[in-house]
Amino acid sequence: MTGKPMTDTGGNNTPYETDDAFLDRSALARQVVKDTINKVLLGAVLILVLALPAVISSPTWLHIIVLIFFYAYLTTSWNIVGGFAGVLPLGHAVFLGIGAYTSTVLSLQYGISPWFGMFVGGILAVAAGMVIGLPTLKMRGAYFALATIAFAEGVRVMVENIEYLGPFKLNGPRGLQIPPLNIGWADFMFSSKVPYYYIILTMLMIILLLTWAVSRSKLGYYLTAGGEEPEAAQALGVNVSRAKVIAMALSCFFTALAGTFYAQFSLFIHPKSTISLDISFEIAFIALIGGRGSIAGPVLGALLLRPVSDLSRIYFGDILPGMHLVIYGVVLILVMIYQPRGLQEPLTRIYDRVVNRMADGFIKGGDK
Amino acid sequence: MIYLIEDTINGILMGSIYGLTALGLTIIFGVLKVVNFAHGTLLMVGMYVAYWTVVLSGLHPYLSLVVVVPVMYVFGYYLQDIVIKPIFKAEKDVREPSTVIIVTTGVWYVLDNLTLMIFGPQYRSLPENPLQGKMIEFGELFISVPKLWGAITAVATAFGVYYFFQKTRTGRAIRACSLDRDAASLSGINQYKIYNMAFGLGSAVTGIAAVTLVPFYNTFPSVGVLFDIKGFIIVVLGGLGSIPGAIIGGIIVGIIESVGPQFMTATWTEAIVYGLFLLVLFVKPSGLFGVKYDW
Repeated sequence: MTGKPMTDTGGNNTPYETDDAFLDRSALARQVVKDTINKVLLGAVLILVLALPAVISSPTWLHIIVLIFFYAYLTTSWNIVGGFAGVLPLGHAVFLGIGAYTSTVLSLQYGISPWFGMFVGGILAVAAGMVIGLPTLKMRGAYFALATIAFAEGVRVMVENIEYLGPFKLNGPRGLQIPPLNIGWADFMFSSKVPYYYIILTMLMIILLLTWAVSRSKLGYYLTAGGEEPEAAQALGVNVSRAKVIAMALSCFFTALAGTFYAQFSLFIHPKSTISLDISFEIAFIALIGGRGSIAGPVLGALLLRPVSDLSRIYFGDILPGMHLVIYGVVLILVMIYQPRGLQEPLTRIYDRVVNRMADGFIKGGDK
Repeated sequence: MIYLIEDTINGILMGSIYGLTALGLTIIFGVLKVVNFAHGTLLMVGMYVAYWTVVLSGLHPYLSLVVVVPVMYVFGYYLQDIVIKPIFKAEKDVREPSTVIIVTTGVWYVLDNLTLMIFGPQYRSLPENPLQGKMIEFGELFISVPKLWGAITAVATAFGVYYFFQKTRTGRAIRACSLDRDAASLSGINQYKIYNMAFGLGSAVTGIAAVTLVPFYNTFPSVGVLFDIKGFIIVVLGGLGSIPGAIIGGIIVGIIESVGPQFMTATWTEAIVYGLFLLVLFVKPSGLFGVKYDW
């Protein structure tokens, strides 16, 4: 990999290219205008997503959008280890499953609010992540990817075979049904999809801010360095494996929170829907299509890939069975052949060009 | 006790066929250093080619090798050339391009579902098959004939592939390329052509495995998925890239799968296979026959 610095779209953090830019007054003015445009656009997007449920009344569409945000959240969590640390975990659904099962078991059997169970699940997922991560994170790419797959599949098979784990009822392959009795904020259960929309939106914003902070922290630099040139980073005194373990822990914790959201949103969990290889794979696909290791990549990936799978299933699912997966596969292959680093880079370039042109327009307009 | 011996023998036989399917995977990994997620799909394609060859021509199932092996070689060669080569060219400096994993999964989705659209979801087994259900009796022991032939084919193929890599000029060029692609290029080897050939060879070996499976196994669009993860487990157990490792890893998995249900439910046996896989990864990540520097 080349040592290209990470860039984002939509952020207001365009780097000041050289020190000379500060001396050059017109360049500085241009930069200020560009920053303002970036901020205005970001604000507009924010207002748009906040107002979206007021505009869209169809529950189907709201459902699709909630799932887009859900996958954007999951992939952003994955990205902390899969993107920055340069390894390819392919079993993240196991942490989603741990989050979903923990909060559901606690609320069904002990009456504990899922808001609390959510964080218990997060901590358990970190523990599970350490079991698989500590011995495997130092391995080469293919081994780590295969180890995570085997771990997730092993856990799925076990959950499918366990009726009771100690005092906790898991119900084997039949899964757990959450009766929609206690509707309200305290029990994380709503009859309309709008509250779910705002919850997942908030979660997505928190995780995006967190990845933004990580990417600018020492940890983020260690991760990028360790992911691209492990030997060189180690020679410079970076504790690469420690950085990877911390990233894995963060990633597992936030993935598990999504598990609770999924359980409360669908009100039914079973091993094949939560700890499934399909979800693990889809997370990695979204990250790679969007652009792994960037902040905007997972969101872009989810925005592009989720509608492909949802809409093609809606329109082709009945007429031509299998057609939607053919379309999905073709999209994966084409994007990877033509943009192996994901769509985030070319889209950033286009966005920058548009902003530059707008800035030029404003500055010229001001000069007149 | 007699059942235990019978299960062990059947496990060894079936395990060698697993090993044969994993052999193709290990050849591709050994040279290209990528995990080919479309491997089960290649097996599925091979099974359909074998099935239709036998049904349309009425040949003995094993004679379909004459058709399946060249077809699969060409198929693998051009799959690599058209779909995977562009990514290698774009990510020249990456040792294990992870994007290839996504592309091969894309190939898996496309081919499996195209097959579903063309041939439908039904399970197909060979009609009037001279091997189906045939058994050899040793006193109280019953051994399935198609599995026995499959195991013999597996071992013979492994020796053939080993001989090819050790003794022939092309085999040595492929090995050189897998050790150091840049140095191999400098000594006049066209690395992309070598990749195509390795992918073709891996596909052809998978085709041989498909031929041995068709007489006693159903052919259907998602048959590859059953062998996919099993294949990964086998090659890591034996050591990614190792030829004897693939066969021995296959036999280990085969024995666990066939003896395990005597003592527990079949799904727990599956969990044991995953557990063993993780154990080997933790203790000896290079696998039973792997080379240490390669991980």
